[in-house]
Amino acid sequence: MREPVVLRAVVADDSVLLRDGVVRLLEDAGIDVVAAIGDGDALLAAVAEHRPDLAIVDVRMPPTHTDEGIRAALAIRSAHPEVAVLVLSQYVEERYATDLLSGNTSGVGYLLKDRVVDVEDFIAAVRRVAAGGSAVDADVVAQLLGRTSRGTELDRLTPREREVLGLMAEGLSNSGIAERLVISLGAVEKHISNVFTKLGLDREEHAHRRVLAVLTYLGDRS
Amino acid sequence: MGTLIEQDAGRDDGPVTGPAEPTPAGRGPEPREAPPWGAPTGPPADAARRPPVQPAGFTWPFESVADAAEWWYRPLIESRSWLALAHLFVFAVWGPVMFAVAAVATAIVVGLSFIGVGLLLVVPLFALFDAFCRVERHRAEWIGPPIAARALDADGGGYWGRTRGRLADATRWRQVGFVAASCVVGPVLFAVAALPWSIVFQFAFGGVGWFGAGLGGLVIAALLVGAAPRATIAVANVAHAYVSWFLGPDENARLAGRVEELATQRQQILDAVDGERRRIERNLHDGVQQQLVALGIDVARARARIDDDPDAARALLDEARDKVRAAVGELRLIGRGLHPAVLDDRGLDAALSSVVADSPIPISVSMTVERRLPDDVATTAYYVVSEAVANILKHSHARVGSVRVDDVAGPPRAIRVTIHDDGHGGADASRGSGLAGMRARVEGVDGSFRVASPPGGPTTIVAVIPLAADASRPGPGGA
Repeated sequence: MREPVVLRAVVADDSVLLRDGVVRLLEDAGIDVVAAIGDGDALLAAVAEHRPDLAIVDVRMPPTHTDEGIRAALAIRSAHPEVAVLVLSQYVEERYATDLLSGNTSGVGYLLKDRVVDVEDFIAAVRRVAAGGSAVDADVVAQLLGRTSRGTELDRLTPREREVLGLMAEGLSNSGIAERLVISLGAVEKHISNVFTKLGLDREEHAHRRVLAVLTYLGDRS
Repeated sequence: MGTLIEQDAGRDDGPVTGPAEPTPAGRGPEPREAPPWGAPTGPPADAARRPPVQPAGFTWPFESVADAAEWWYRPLIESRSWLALAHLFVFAVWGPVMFAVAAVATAIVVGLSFIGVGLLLVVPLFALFDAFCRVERHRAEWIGPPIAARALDADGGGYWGRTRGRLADATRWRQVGFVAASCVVGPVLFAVAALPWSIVFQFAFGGVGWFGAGLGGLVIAALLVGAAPRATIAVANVAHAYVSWFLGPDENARLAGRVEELATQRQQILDAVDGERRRIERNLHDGVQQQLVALGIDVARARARIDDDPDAARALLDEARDKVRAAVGELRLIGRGLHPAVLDDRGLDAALSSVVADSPIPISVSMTVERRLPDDVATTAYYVVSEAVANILKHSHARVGSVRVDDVAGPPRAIRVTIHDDGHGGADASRGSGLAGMRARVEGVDGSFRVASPPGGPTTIVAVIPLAADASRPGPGGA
């Protein structure tokens, strides 16, 4: 995974308190916050002006306080595909995740706001998304895992393989998974190979395409 | 507001007697104060009310013969007996006269209709019937509770519209039927009522051949005479029911209107509940949750600095503590908005004082209702005031406000909550705002809600909350 020397980010959140917190958090991590704004229109303007590496976007912003953030994120995706988007949400909403992640999951993330507090994981997710990877909140993945109609197929996985599947869906790379589970890279590769075989998924090289494959598999309710 | 109360009062006092309810006992709105017409009064009724102390089987309900005699003969000296007799007599004479006048008028109108002119007289003809019926409705108050008018259709446009309206109005034809039937019913009712009197007179003054006048006849007459006024009152009750059936309000229509109104209110309440839940969710997610996450960020950053830069870490922890305070304060506000504990502990007055306590502008609270209010009434009043005060602080730019709670004598008995501010006005209950929720809440307990908020202000909100909601009672927007 390539890591730019200095990431440039814009932060959009209408809660001044939280926005300031996130900005300081990013700056602590050496990320350059070029703009911090409070609504979707200002976000689009700031992205057009600064061409940042990444936009961190709150789902609910003025004027309607519903899904402005999602719509702004999709607008950024189509207008500036090179700008990665990380959406922060107050609660898990599968619809938001599917809206965001349908199509190209490259450089897209959807996390619960509380993840911000786990600074290292959050910054890792920010860097991953900025580098063209993806980040899907563990709760969203858990919901998809729990509610998928493919329960019987998932039953064939060992607990460890299920864990690995969940982390894949969250967008972690092989080395990220190895780090999280404290196992060797070789063990991760073996688990992943087993998962793909058991579920009949295409073997995908890139982490984000893997995410898409897994999410599509889980989201398929047929 | 006042008019609403008056309407309600009119309806409440109005008779609810329908055709299916000829027994007089169900007619009076407050049977305890006024004994039902025709029911025996005095000792038997009293005796009937205390069966537990009576031995089983027949018991003589009087303590002495004098008591019994007093009970038996009392109707003779009660004015209502004679009023009833007078009413029936007038009805017997007036019924046919009324019919005759109406019949002649109708004949003229129908006759003239063949040359067209009569059609011009349809409206006055129905007005004549209406006037007759109005008189009979009012005269029925001699013998029973007042009878409210059955609703007439609204007037159509223009003279022909009105003529067509008259001819299509079922209530008008009911009036015609009443006048026609009264020609017979009046004399018949009087004849029935007069029969017992005539029997008594026959015994007393002769004419019954095989017994004749004399002492025996007088004794029998004296014994029977107590029954005559009772019969008269019973007949008068029939007369009252007759008038009420023809001319009284249409109970089905009233209930249908009431059902529709309740359904609307139910929907409004559901919407209001939904809106409240949404607002609570937003307060939690956009308020407290954000504060807690920001707090978590402070703690995380402090943790990262604690070894290298303890001063910075300390400063961050101070910020974190402030955020904890703010979050707790916000949670308290949300909780109080849901249901104020002080309302249960100390009552409405104290709860309202706490609503305005944090206000940056002076808002006075005056409450003249001393006693403890029913829970739902107090909660509704509290809700209205806290919403209204929140609106004042948020939108009105007012410099001063006031909250007043006082009694409405009724009926129905109610409290009136008035919230006033000198802000710039322009509040509109029809636009999506807290006002719609307040209205739904108040109307949901059969109260009334009014907002006066001209652009430029001032704004006055008046909510009248009845002390007891009754599903069968006509509400403010009733039929």
